[in-house]
Amino acid sequence: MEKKVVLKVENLVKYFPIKAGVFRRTVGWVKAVDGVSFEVYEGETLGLVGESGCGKTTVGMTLLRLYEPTSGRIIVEGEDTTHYFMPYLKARSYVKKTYIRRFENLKKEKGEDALKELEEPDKKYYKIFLEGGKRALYEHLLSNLPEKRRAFRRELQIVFQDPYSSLDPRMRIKNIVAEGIAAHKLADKERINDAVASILEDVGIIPGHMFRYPHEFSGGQRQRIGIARALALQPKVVIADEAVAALDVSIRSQIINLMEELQERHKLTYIFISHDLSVIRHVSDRIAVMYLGKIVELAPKKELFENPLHPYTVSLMSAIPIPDPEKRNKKRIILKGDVPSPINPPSGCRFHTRCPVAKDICKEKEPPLVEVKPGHFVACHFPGSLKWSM
Amino acid sequence: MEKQPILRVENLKTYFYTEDGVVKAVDGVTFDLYEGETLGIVGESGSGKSVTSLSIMRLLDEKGKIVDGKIIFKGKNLLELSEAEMRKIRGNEIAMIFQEPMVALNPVYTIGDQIMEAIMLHQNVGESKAREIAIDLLRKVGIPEPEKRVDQYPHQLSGGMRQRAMIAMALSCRPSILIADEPTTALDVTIQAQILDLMKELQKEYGMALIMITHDMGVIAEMADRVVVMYAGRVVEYGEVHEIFKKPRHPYTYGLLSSIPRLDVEQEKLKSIPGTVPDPLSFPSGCKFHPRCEFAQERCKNEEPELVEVEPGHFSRCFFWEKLKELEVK
Ligand SMILES: Nc1ncnc2c1ncn2[C@@H]1O[C@H](COP(=O)(O)OP(=O)(O)OP(=O)(O)O)[C@@H](O)[C@H]1O
Ligand SMILES: Nc1ncnc2c1ncn2[C@@H]1O[C@H](COP(=O)(O)OP(=O)(O)OP(=O)(O)O)[C@@H](O)[C@H]1O
Ligand code: SF4
Ligand SMILES: [Mg+2]
Ligand SMILES: [Mg+2]
Repeated sequence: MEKKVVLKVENLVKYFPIKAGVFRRTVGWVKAVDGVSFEVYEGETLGLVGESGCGKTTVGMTLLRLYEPTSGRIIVEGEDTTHYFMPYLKARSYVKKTYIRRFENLKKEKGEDALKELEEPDKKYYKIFLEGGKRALYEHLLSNLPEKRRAFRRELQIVFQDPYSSLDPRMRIKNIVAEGIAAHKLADKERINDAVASILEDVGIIPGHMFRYPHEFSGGQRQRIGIARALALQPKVVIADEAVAALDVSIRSQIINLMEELQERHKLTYIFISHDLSVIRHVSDRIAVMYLGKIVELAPKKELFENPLHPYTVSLMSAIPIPDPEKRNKKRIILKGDVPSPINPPSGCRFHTRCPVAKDICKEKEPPLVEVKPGHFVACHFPGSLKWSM
Repeated sequence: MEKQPILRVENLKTYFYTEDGVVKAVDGVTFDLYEGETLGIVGESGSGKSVTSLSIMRLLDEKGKIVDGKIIFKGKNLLELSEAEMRKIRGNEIAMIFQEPMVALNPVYTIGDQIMEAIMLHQNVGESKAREIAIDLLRKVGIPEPEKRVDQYPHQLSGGMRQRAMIAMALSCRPSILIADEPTTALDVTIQAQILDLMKELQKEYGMALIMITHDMGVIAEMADRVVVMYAGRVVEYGEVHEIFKKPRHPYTYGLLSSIPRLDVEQEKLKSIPGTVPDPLSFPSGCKFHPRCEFAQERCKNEEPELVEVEPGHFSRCFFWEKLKELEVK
């Protein structure tokens, strides 16, 4: 059964400039996300896990184009969206660089035969190019950008960690939830209150409370309101960035359960970002493990837990205290040292400075992310050589 | 019972008198701490864990008053000591480390200065000897190149290093009790594993008793010999760690244990405790947990249960603790 890809990220890079001096010159770069690729299937939950500063939030913010990517492609439902938020001329030059020039060469060399070797969306775009020339392809990619942006802003939503600062304290709950509905004309004016009521009910907030302000709600309830605000736009993909991290343990499971129910009811696709591998295990279908701006391992959940291959994944699993005192004497892998800085990441494999099984080559050569089994990707010269069992 | 507790907290009540009303942050907390053991205190945000430890250290701000109870340390009631006598105990006999070492460390002094000050305050040594001890301590807590680090400022260290420096400072006077308030909550898990490992090792070597405060049941299971579970300023359950995890006798503990996502087992759906954490300015009547409790009866609304010994050394504050016998935590 072919699963439908809703979101595809190719070689995503996001560097932040480090400025210094009176002239605020750029003196270096924080390589927050440095070449990340993954796909997200319709209706699934992809978990993104890793320690503080590894770039999880930056991936989310860049996907949403709250940060402009430094490079890479972001494909949503088969359409390249990378240039959607660029100024027009820049967008045009992106299209020229990414497609037109390449396709002109392809046409000269292979003509229609090239279609066979292309993947989506390139294949679709090449067809347009063959049929209507470069004008047709420019037209396809660059027309109606404002409308495309609006649709994009609706289809991808985010729920943040902090239920306190992410809701405007001066706005009533009703307006917080209704804002997006009105902006995207998802309900008639007279019907907006009904729409808000039904969404609030959906997330377990008493609809009668819609005229209250955020401070009148507890942390868990505010997180429900944050989820309601995202759902109001009927999104396809919801990015949850540490959505349960700030909550008390007893409230955390309420919100996790709620998100799972909503996913089923509304056929949502989730990218669930968390530093907590236990939470990630519970919610995810597939899991991507990040370290210093890179994905080091990506696999279906069951496979990852039965057969973790990257030494970092194994170390992370072993570091987590299990809530069962019978298991306390189990041997742990204690990593040495701290996470290095993303400004000057280590050469070769970025994990080599802390890796218990590193050899000389790890310092010199960067291991690519390769598929070692169907659906199981790992970036390590010696996958599986660090052993540990739960 | 052969063993004598080194610390005994008895019916401790600490209230805050705020503009909005009286916050009964700690309301009748009782527990013992034995020599060399690790006592875990677990509970949700606002349950009174930090206030309990600050009360032991007598470090509350002006609004906070200890209105009742005793804190017996080596036979003396700390609440009856003068501030000068208390200062001798603080840092010397009982030391404390916090969640955010940046708050506890002074940003304008080097790590070395701060540890040396603690050493010279409590031990009769000169500056160069104190520096030597400080460097040794930094080495002991696993800080690389301690000769260099000793002259660095807190902001020059990573979070994990700062927590190590805090531990070094706390250990400088070989306290008999170390209170650690969420010492690893702000740290990454791989760094947490390093720090927990270090604390276990040092505890063995120094033979000190440890009070480990956390909201993480995993950390409790890993570290504690005995556990205090707090809810709304009260101890709701108290006992040996295996008992608490295998045979919880309070619905809150039971709910907590079955609501955590686990790394080691695949769970279908998480159980959850309904409702929200109670507002400290208006705690519910009767049993403070009754609005969220699946076992609650009429009686729970009107009457507050006592902490009763349900098995030797295992206490629960619930009228219906026997019902929990029938349930197994999965
Ligand atoms: N706006 C920004 N400007 C400069 N640097 C940034 C910015 N945002 C993030 N960074 C840096 O990029 C790196 C990745 O940060 P990011 O917030 O994506 O990590 P994270 O995995 O989400 O971490 P956490 O678990 O702490 O949320 C960090 O080194 C961070 O300091
Ligand atoms: N200085 C203060 N003034 C007023 N109220 C306070 C003060 N310190 C604590 N409280 C209140 O006392 C109660 C208990 O707080 P405490 O800090 O002990 O909780 P905790 O269990 O340590 O929680 P956390 O897990 O969030 O650290 C809370 O309701 C808190 O708001
Ligand atoms: S590539 Fe080398 S250093 Fe990196 S994780 Fe694998 S073994 Fe360790
Ligand atoms: Mg983040
Ligand atoms: Mg606290």
